[in-house]
Amino acid sequence: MQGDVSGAICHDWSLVRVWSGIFCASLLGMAVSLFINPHGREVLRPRDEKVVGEASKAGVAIVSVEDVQKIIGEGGWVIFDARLLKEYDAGHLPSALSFPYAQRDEAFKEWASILNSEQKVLVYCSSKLCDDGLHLAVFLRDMGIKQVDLFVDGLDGWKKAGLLVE
Amino acid sequence: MNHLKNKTKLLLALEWAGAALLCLVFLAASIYKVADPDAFSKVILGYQVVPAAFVGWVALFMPWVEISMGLAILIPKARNAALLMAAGLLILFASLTGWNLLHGVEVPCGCFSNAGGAATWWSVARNVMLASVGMLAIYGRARRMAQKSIL
Repeated sequence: MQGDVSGAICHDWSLVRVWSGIFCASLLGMAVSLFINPHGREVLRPRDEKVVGEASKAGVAIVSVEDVQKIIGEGGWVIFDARLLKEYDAGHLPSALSFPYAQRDEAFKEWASILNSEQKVLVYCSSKLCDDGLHLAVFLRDMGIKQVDLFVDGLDGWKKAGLLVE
Repeated sequence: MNHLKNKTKLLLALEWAGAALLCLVFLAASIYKVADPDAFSKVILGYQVVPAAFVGWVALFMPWVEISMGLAILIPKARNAALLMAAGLLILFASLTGWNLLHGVEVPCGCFSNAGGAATWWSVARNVMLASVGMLAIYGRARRMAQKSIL
């Protein structure tokens, strides 16, 4: 004999009760974790401010769109795109080379022949919200390159200025 | 009557197996998110669903939803509601991942670590399968409770 399935669930707590309980428990857990680990509050800072702030702390110089136009015009700099290769292929700054931060060790080996401690390097990512450019700048500096600047506005900033990508 | 009792035991085993699996999955998924909310916030940004101003809050809140929900699944009276929430979240994650994949947007899976590589259609399929496990566990519990009322 088949039982009445629909009536069986009334033995359990209601959806509203359980979901409210989960919501409140989650809020409590989040509050406790923030109290125990104040460093976790860093994630609440607006991301674009975060990258600029960290660049300043790391001593990485930030350049503007106008600065990048000058750099490209004058030549003599190496420009690295810190995004994934697929993103680079979809469009990048003029004369930029692909140097995905996610594969930085392999990329460094690939570009080692054009790099030396005196070579000026410019790095960028997709936008102010992306910190791969900053991480790449610090990585290259750790590898011995003295001047590594960061175009923090990234490809989005370049496009917003109405400039063409390759 | 014995047949019904055996069926009830089988349904109980299926219910507990499904509940235990989903509990473990969500607790495991929450570990790195609690330990490194910054890395998780980057994953959320990649999905381009949450406005940038709220990404941090979601990155801090979401893992605790997973923990609370995972533990609620183990409480029999809360199980159905928690499993329904779990299935709903899994379908949501699968939909967001599938949407991005369809539009050629490479997003990190961010499922169990921030180093897990890009999401693939396997990530979508896995979430759908886990949601199905949750729904089966709900059905199994409902059937078992109904049969209990007969025995």
